[in-house]
Amino acid sequence: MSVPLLEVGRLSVEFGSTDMPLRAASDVSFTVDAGEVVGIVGESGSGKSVSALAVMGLIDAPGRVRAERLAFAGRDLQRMPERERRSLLGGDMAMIFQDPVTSLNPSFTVAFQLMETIALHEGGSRKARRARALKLLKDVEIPDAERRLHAFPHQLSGGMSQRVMLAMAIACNPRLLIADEPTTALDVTVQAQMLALLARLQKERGMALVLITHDLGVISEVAQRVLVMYAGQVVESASAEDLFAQPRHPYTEALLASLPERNAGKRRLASLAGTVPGAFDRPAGCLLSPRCPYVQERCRVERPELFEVGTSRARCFYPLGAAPQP
Amino acid sequence: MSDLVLATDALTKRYEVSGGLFQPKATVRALQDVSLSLAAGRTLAVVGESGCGKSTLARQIAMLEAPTSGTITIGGVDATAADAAARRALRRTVQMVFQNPFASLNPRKKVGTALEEPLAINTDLGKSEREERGRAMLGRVGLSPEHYRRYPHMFSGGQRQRVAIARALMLEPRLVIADEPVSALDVSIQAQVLNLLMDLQDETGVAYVFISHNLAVVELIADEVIVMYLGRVMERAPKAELFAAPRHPYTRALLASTPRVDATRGAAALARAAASALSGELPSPLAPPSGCVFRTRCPFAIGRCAEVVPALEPAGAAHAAACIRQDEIG
Repeated sequence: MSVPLLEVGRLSVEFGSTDMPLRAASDVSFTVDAGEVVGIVGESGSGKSVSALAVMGLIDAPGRVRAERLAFAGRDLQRMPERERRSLLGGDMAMIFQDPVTSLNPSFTVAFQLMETIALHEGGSRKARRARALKLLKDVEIPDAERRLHAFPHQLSGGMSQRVMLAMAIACNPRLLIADEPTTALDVTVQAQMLALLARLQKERGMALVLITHDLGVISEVAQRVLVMYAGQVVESASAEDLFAQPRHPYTEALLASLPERNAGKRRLASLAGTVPGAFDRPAGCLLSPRCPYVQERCRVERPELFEVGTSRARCFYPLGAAPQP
Repeated sequence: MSDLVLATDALTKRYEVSGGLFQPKATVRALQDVSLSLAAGRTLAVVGESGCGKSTLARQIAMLEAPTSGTITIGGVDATAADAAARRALRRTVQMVFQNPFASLNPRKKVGTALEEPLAINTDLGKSEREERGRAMLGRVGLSPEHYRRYPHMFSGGQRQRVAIARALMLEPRLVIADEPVSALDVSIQAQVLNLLMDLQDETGVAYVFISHNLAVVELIADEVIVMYLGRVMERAPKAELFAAPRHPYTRALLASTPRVDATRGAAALARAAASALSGELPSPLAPPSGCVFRTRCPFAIGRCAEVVPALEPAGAAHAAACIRQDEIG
């Protein structure tokens, strides 16, 4: 069996004091194969962005990242010298963020920022780098690319800025691209363009894509495999087909049920009562137990593992449509 | 008609903006000839992307700004011609709920104070009566009495939005303008707040102008929908007709680009989205295209689209679209 491109095993991210830590993510495990599209879905504060940042090594002290395993292409990211790990970023591993306007440096032109990335990882003459930059802008379907090279970020629209970010991210042919809510700030027609572009680049370059979003519609269009996160934990991991056809975790089911498009013709939306527990008032048992419609006594006292359920995995003692965990 | 809560006729708003240093002033046409009507107990959804003028429309209807031309009739009274006293009386009947509940509540005021304030300003109720009504309203939006003396920072986003809704309803308005009220909320909380809005409408008969870019939400809550683009109404229709048989190319593009969970998945869905995806982006409202404002992105545009500004042409009892080719492409 070949080594997965990215392995994350029992990753946890903590902030704050050591005796009262704020657990932004705990026990997060997943793998991403080369060329695979994995979607991570969850509500705000579910730990999806923080997990991605931890993988990229972008959590600064005093944040604490711990993992049993954190490996890229078989190489242990935690044991690697800092310089080496840094050089992976923007090279083999790249990331784009939600807000394209704040991700670009307002004081420099598009050409400067693109050429800087290329210079850092590949070098080459100024002329060659400029030609690469132009080709990248064309790759991300920026119209009138020649002129946009000299544009400053404030002269670009949101969609255009996100394309420039994407051009920078793919400049060095990454094998893994993490896209954190790449279309959330965009209008729906521009979002459709952007998703199609991401999917095309992913396929053409055979790059693995981790797409973080709160939009289940986006996930269902793009992802092959999906992780659902809740309160810092992965609660379900399944192929996109399985997840939407037969959710195993009550939280996934509730998320799907609360979508307006799954409530056509009904007068009211199905909704999960209550809110996500805060960082310091987490229940003793399963984190969903105070809100779960299927809660049992066991759920309130014991924390479930991520159990295998058919071809999926779900963090639930009583997975839907399957026998309870022993 | 007496049960019409809101009607606008050819509402137009232009803003003068600086064209740059030493440049003449430029004009943004934020709203152009918007006519609509809304009956009591009904919900009118206004749909469009950023820059389409939907929030400008909200500000005109809420009388926060005066339109450049056109009329707004609220409960049978012409708000654009009313004097100051009449406008003040009208303002009581129109309230707003904003998108971001983290910004729309005063962090220094307790929830109770925020709820009582509209009563203190607009009515001559005593302190204890105001508190009584405030507490009752808190219960109706699904919060508990102990929340009355808390500050906004002690609440989650969904709870804050409930407070904002409660505040808007304190004066028993006939019309509530909700500007993207659930866009800042997570999907499970969004469902709770939408249910609340619908319950309150059933109880009080309040009419909503519901501004949103999310078509799935609109499909759930709206009775009628208007679709806007660059300050103009592109299509107006009852909800069911709009979603089943959209007439305007822009409405079709919006519907096709909205990602849906139960649509075909994966490559097929993306191919479909890519095929229907509009090319390009919204033109600058400072220099809108001649003729039909949508023609620069429209897959069906022909030469004539640049020459004539299409009028809203009826395509059914309450259905109208502003497209000269709507019959051909249907």
